[in-house]
Amino acid sequence: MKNPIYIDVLKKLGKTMLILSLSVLFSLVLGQTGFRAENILMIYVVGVLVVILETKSFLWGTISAFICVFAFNYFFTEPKYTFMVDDANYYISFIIFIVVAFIVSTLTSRLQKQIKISKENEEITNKLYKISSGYLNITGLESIVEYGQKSLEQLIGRQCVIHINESYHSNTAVRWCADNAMICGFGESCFDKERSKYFPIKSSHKMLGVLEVDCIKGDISKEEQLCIDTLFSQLTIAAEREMLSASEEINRLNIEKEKLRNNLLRSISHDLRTPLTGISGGANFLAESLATLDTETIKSLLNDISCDASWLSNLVDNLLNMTRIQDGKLLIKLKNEVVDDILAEAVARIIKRGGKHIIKTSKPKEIMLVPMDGQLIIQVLVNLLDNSIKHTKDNSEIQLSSYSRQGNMVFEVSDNGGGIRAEIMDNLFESFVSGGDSQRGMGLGLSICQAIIKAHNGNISAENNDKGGATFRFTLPLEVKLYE
Amino acid sequence: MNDKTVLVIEDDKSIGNFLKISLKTNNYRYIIAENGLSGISLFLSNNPDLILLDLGLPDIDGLEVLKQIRINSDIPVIIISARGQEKEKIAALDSGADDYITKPFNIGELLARIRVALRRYIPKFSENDIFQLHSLKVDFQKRKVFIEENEIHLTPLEYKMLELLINNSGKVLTHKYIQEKVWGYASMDDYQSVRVFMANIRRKIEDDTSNPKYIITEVGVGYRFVEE
Repeated sequence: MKNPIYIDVLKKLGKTMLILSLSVLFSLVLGQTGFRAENILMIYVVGVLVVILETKSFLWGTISAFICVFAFNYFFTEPKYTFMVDDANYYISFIIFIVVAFIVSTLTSRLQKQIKISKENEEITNKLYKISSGYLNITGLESIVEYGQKSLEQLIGRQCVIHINESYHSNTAVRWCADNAMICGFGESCFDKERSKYFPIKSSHKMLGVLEVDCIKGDISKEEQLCIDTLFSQLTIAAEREMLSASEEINRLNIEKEKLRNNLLRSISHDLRTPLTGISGGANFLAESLATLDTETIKSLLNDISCDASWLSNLVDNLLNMTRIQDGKLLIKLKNEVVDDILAEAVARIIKRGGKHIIKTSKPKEIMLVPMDGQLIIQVLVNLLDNSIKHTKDNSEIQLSSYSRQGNMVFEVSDNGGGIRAEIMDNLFESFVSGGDSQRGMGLGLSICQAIIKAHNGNISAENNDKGGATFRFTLPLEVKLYE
Repeated sequence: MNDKTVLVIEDDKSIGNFLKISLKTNNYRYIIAENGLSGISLFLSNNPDLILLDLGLPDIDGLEVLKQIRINSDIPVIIISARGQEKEKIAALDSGADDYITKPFNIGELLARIRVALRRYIPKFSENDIFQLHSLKVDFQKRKVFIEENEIHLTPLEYKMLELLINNSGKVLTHKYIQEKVWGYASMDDYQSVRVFMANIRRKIEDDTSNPKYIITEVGVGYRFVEE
């Protein structure tokens, strides 16, 4: 810092010396040719003005004014080559000369200052404008705050930290500032150890956070305060815009959720009512006319009731899983499960329900451990098997296979029935798509399958086989492969 | 005529009724308790032979009832639980319940479980015995396993597991129990070794592991060797 001032002073000194020497030389030349003393004085006035313009300094102007007066005195007033003055009129001239030089240098230096300030202001305005247009390209509260912090640091050249709500508690001064919404810190008696000043950032109705500005260099100046204020207003506008769009997004999601819930409820009540009608009708009929019925009829009615009941039970299982899915994310607990166990359990649950389908399984060659939520994957397999059973005739063959391929465990349920109709193929896994009007809504089951597989970071797809029938396939990412 | 008494602790009237009828037709005597506290007091006053305990009771936790009962007695207890109560189920088995059954259940299955639980005190296969079920034969003295008279090679740990399962046939053994009995120490890895060993045993002794004849998986809970 010392060097530039030193050089600056030297420069100004040089300039002043040069200009003054030239003026003196010029005046001497003119003096030789017999110009009158008043005119020569005017030359000195010009010299002083040039000095002021060149050095832009009041001080140098005044100094040169005095030098000029002495030079004039020395060279041109009687007795010459002394600092004595015979004619009292000259005293008046000197005083007027100095007053004029003084006024001119005051005006000039003031003008210079004004220019300097307006230049600085322009620069700050430019910077602020750049900063404020920068906000347009940023989304997310965190990046907005980060951007604001960086911009302020560049603007005022101090270290700044913006604390948003979460980090209040780490620092008592920050908390005090946030709680009382008042500037505090550096320079106040109760915060005498603080080296930073804290500014609350307020939007129209909410405390956004606290700005911490490093004050090692000294207190905040008025210009800096202005910058901080401007930056705050930009920051709060950007943050409010952000919060507004976030709350809009939440609203939109809520509406979507509500829609889904309504659809789900409609679908569930339909799915519940159908088997319930069967059960209550059958049971009522049995209770009223038991005496008149033959054993065969009774048996078939009871069979229907038990079938409907087991169907209801599966629906309830699905609904239980669905509640875990619907609350935002599906909470799954990944555990390494042996694929054999999962296949066996799924098949056992299907066989338990009776039915005349032939279920064939092919298991992986090695013993595979796959990270999954066992109960949920079993549910997926049960749903897929159930789906195949519903859409094929009795004695059809259903193939359940599992093998590993490219870091994934692949599970396939394949049947030799009629396949999937082209018009429902595209949105098969979306909620509540059903294979036919008379079919009970398996759409729910398939959409649950998709949600479960997605939660496992897997994929589920369906396709029609070349030789007829459909194949449902899902993959689970494989991380652990154990055992020879 | 069967003279065994079953105490049913179940708050749902219709399930209670259905259990009552089933027990009666199968010649068991029964007592019904509709909440946990009356269940405990009926257990203390009636000295039943077996308890069917619902985990979801209106007054106190079924697990608490089990603990109270276990203070005084090691009477067979079968847990009745709803699906989705996996944690409670395992906790109950690990705190001394003998078996569990998941709602909705099949009455035939429940009666089979009751029979197994009541038979528990009959001595198991001694060291000299040979165990035979379908095509599986285990010679406990020679420590050899055969399928259709062909010897199957099992590693010592696999043999130990199979022996443990056969000695507890009909009963569900939790992963934790198997781990502690076979390895002798607790596991830190979700009982991964238990599962892998079990899968290997099954591949050696079962014809079709998707439709096992001998070892049934109780997913998330443990394993059960089928009853004879």
